Formats: sequence, C-alpha cells, structure tokens
Amino acid sequence: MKKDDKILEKIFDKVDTIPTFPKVAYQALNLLREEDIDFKKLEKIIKSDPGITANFLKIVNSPAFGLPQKIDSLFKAFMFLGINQIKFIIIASVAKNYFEKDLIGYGMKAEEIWLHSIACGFIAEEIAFDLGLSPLKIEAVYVASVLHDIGKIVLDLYTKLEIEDFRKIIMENPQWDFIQVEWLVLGVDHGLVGAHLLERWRFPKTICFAIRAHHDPDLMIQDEIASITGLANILANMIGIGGGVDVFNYRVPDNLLKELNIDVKKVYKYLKSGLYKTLVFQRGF
Amino acid sequence: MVIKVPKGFYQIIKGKEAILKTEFLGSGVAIGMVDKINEIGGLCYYVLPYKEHDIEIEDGELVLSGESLIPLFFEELEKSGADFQIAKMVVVGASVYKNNPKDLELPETNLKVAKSLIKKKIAFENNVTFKINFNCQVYAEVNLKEKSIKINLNGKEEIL
Repeated sequence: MKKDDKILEKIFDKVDTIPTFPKVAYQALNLLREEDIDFKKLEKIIKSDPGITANFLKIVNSPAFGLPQKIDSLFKAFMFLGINQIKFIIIASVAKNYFEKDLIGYGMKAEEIWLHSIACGFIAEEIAFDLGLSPLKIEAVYVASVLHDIGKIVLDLYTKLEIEDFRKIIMENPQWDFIQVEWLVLGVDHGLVGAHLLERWRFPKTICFAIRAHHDPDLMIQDEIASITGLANILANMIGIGGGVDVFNYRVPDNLLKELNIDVKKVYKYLKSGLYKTLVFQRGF
Repeated sequence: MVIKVPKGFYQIIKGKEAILKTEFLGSGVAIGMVDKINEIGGLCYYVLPYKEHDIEIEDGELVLSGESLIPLFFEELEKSGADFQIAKMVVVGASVYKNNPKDLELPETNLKVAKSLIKKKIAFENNVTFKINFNCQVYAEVNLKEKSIKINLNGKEEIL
C-alpha cells in the first residue's frame, strides 16, 4: 500500500470519530420549518442538550444580535429573535463544539477558526437575504457557510504530520493552489472530507456540495448555495477574519460576482457589515 | 512588551523598548514606521479603504478605514516628534487570492488609499518599502528595541 493510500484510509477512519451532528439540532431545525412553531416544544428540545443551550445563550447575548436586554432563558430569546436568527444561532451553537481545538496543521487557533466560521455565516446570510433566497435555502446557506471548514478538523492531524511535505511542495510549486497540495500530500482536500462528513450526517446534497466546492473555482459557480458559501469565505479572509497556512492560496472564479448578480458596491456593503457584526460578536466571547 | 494593533487602529511608542504587532492582515494594509534617531515607532492597520467604511463598534469607539486612519496616524507621529524625512516606512499587506478577479478590488483599493495619503506626506520613493500582494497570511511588526520593521509571511520572518 502506498503512503498516501494509508493516510487516506486513516483519514476516512477519523471521520467516524467525529461526533455526529446533534439530534437535538436536527429536531430543532425541523420544528422551525413548520408553519405554526411551538416555541415551548422548541425550548424543551434544545434544553435537552446542555452544551447547545449554554452556547445558544452565550451567542444570543452577543451584541451582534442587538437584543434590548440580557437573555437568560431560551424561551425569552425566541420571543426576541426571528426564525432565521434562531436557526443561525442553533447552527453556530453546534459549530462551536466542533471548533474547540487549535488547528495546528492549518496554523489556526480555535478562536480564529470559530470566528472565521461565524463571519462567513454573517456575510453569507446578508448575501442570501439580498438575493431573496427561500427560508429553506437560507438555512442551507447557514449550515454550509458556518461548517465549510469542518473537514479541516479531520485533516488537521495529518496536515500536521506531513507539514514538511506541505512546505516543500508549496515552495517547489508556487503556481499550485492549496487544494492541489492537499491532494498531492494527503490524497484528498478538506472540502471533500467536510462534504463526506455532512453526507454521513444526512444533510441535503446542496449543502454537501457547497462544502465540497468552497475552494474549487469550477464547482463553486455551479450552484447558488456553493457560490454564496465560497464568496463569504473569500470576503471573510479579505477583512482579516481567518488566516491559516492555506489562506489566499486558492483560485477564485473570475465570474463569481457576475454569477450571483452582485456588483462591487454590494461587496463593500458585505465587507463592512460582516466586519461590524464579527467584531461586535467577538466582544461577547 | 508586545502591544497588539487591532483593525482600524494605530499605536505609537516613543523611547520604549516595545513591539507593536498586527493581527492577520487579510487584504488590509498596515503601515509601519521607525524613526531611529528620535526613537519613535508606529504601526497602523486597516481593512476597509474609505471614510464611508468607518465602523462604530460601541458608543464613540470607532474602527477606522484607511482614509480616516492614516492622516490621524501621521498627525500623531508628527506630534510625537517623528521626522518623516529620515524615518523608515513599510507598507505591508493587500494580500490577494492566486487569481484575484478585478471586481474583488479590496486589496488594490486599500493600497491606493495608502499610496495617495503617503504621497501627500513625504517624498514618495525615498524611505518607503512596499511588501504587498502575497498569496498567504501576513503579519506586520514594529520593534523599537531592534529599531526594525518585520513582516511575517506564513511563519517566515523578514526584517526590513
């Protein structure tokens, strides 16, 4: 067996060790898709997971959500929030648990990857609202944008172990992007691994595709959710929310904005509000 | 002592053996300055170009754009006694993707603002070094102890 085959086998074994997307979050998101939402029932569902509840209350009290008072109960929070905001906070609460460790191989601290994920969520949300996406698509945008880098938590150990190979290949092939380097060293890229993970968790294909495509300039523009996820990631890095060894070492589709029918002025709007929300959000943590 | 310089802010040190450091710059721009004779160091860092992009985070607390930040930074340096004619200045950042499309113009616009405001202040080519448009993460540092300006490109340090 070749070295990279062995790594690949281990990587896909590691996928099995990542805690599955919590049932509580699925149930809560399902309930939020109903026409008449029973908020008491929603509270009961979320409360059954103390970790998500604690994260939810911490996030909701961030100034980024602009609530007029400190919120100490889920039910009270639901009264102040819109349905989309509740969905966003549930997804962010779950994501917090996945991004709790530093990504040493990718050169990112836990708080950096977490903040980057949230920033992508904020930016993607605004783009999705401007494009008039349906509530179901907005939910897909939240999941894809907040979890787009989840494959990195699987690959980080192997990136760390093979870091010298990464450095050498990057130095010798400056024209290559990081996807090509990941493929050469590990036999896979973090977008594909992340998509595989979400497929196993039975997320809709469009979300898995967006995660798969978030660094692939050809795939990204084939789907609206993927384009929004890719663009949000690009813009978050541009405003300095993110980083890591791979940042900027990717190709961007030339026609990404055109495909989404977004003009340059709008881009500045997304950059400004994304920066504002993220900095304000950061204050709460 | 290490002093972090966040987005939209500047810091100036005089006579202290301190280090000023930015966060990950993104496509933002940092301007570092060291006046060895007068022992003054300064670092400013912004991510958005124009005044209309200034952000108020809390009451009265602003995260400034390049257009607002750079004149204040220069003014404060002058008040501190820095001599622009002898000081070393480095412009860092404006990082780009491998094939940055024209319509994602933030790095170029940030740079344009820095260039035009520096040009108003000092003889352009003299003491200004540009370290820009990399495809990787970049940090900037002003070290008054060593009287140097450093950049960090994906962990690799370069002293300027």
